[in-house]
Amino acid sequence: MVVFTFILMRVLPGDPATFFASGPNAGQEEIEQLRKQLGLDRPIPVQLVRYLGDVVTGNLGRSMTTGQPVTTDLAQRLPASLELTFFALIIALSLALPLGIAAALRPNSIIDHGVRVLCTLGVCVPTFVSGLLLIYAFYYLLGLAPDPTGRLDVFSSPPPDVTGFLLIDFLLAGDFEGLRAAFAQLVLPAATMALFVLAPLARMTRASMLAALGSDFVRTARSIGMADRRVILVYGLRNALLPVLTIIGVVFSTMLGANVLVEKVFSWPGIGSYALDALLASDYAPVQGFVLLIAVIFVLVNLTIDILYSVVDPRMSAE
Amino acid sequence: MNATLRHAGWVLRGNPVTAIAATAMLVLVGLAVAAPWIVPYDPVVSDVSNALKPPSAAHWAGTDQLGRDILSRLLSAARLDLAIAFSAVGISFVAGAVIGALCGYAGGALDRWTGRLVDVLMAFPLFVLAMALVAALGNRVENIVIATAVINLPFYIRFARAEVSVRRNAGWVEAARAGGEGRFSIVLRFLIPNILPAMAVQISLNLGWAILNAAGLSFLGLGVQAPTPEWGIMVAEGARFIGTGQWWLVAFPGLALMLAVLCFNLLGDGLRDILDPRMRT
Repeated sequence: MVVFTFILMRVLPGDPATFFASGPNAGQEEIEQLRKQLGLDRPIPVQLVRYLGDVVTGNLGRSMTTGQPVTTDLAQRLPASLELTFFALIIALSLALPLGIAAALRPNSIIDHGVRVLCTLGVCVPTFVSGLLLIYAFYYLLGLAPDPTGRLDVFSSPPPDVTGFLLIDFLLAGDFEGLRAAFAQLVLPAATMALFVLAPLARMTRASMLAALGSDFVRTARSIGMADRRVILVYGLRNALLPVLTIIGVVFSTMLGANVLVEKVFSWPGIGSYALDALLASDYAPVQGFVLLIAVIFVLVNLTIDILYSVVDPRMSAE
Repeated sequence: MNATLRHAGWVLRGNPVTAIAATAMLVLVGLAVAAPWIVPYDPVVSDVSNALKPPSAAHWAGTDQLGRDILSRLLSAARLDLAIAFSAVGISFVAGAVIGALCGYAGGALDRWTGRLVDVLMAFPLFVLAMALVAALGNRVENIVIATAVINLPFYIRFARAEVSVRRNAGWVEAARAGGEGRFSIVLRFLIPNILPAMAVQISLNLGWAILNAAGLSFLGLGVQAPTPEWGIMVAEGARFIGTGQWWLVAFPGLALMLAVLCFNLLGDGLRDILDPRMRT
């Protein structure tokens, strides 16, 4: 995979040395020197071996636009993206699970049809459109949301940097005014992303809840007079969670991609907008680092989900 | 064939949503094809004195920051967006069906290596992969098509491979082999036609996704360039004015995108009911 990203980025057109030389009238000599400094004068296989060595030692190169090592840039911006993604996932799950369960409890009822319509529409609206419309409604029309740029408005000072997650940092510092400000900035982008992934989550919850509720053990539990609440949550939901977990993995991957769009709409200083700026400036190293980082996160998420499987369903770990 | 048509008619009667979606899609394609002749204004000529006017009788969808008629731009954009989606999905369908079917039929090293390549492709979030591809190939419309085709390819390869390996040892394939047909001939003339109906569903669902992808890329400034009318670009240009309340710049292209995707998705669900009764939901 590392090799694949490398090759992808090396076939990029445009010579970065020419691009980053001091100006349009930079001398040929200066360009040559810059190229040597960047290692671009070596043959491609040599560059690849050097790159692989660098990646193993945690050196992802230097961004030409910010002038900092890519690792530093990414580490600075990753918490912003993760905060947004996780918060969105929490919103989506806290809406999708109850909706899916409600739809499964009364198939073909108004609730069921409503959820279906919501799901069908939800996948059709692109994130960048829903994000902008949310800005229009909550910032322009209702004035409830703050100016939709960045993680904090200009009046708030950032909290002492502990985890990089603003919500947690404000909480640790006991600064509730700041917490409220950061939360207000976060709600709209997170809601945008949550809307986008609500549909697959709710649909999967409904389908697997229907299957679980139709099974023998639920009928037995009901027949011995167990409380509805217990039957649904303990017997039904617990057994329905496995496919939902699988779909969370898929959803997370889509969210990492959609991050780029949402971060652009809300000027969110995350890794997505960082990579996009670098991409448009034909600055290789940050894009390579970004794609690599995303792939690593993706693998970690899948690993976590595999571990969660055995927590949700102990039968899985017996194998 | 006759029976299929009758079955289709029966399903459509029982499922008006699919019929509406099919009609809406035909209207959409018709509008897109006829766009150059029916647009009320020139989609790229600006008229600054008329800039940022809300929807009115003269401009049904209002005008943008350069005074261009949004409705005319929407219709011209439909042509480009649909063309991108159709050609991207076309490429990945043809390439994916042939590669997948060959892998499923032949197995062996070819199958293993293709499988590994597909796994690598799918290890990236697909939208990020498309971004990187457009950047690598150059910022042009053709490359949006190629990038969208590439990120769709794994699904078609996997699908065709699975469907073909189920049928590989079926009686009629055996018979074709006994009749002296070559490998390629069996795959191209017997197996691929046999899996076409199942793939049609995939195509329809994929078209909607391809439109969203292409629009997303253009929204980011990759691929189609202004002033070409394209739904994603129109949203990107309108984004600057949303904070000051000019909602029509974003809402109408957004609505167009949503309707197009909705049509393809509903049609895909309907096609599944018609072509593959086993998978009915």
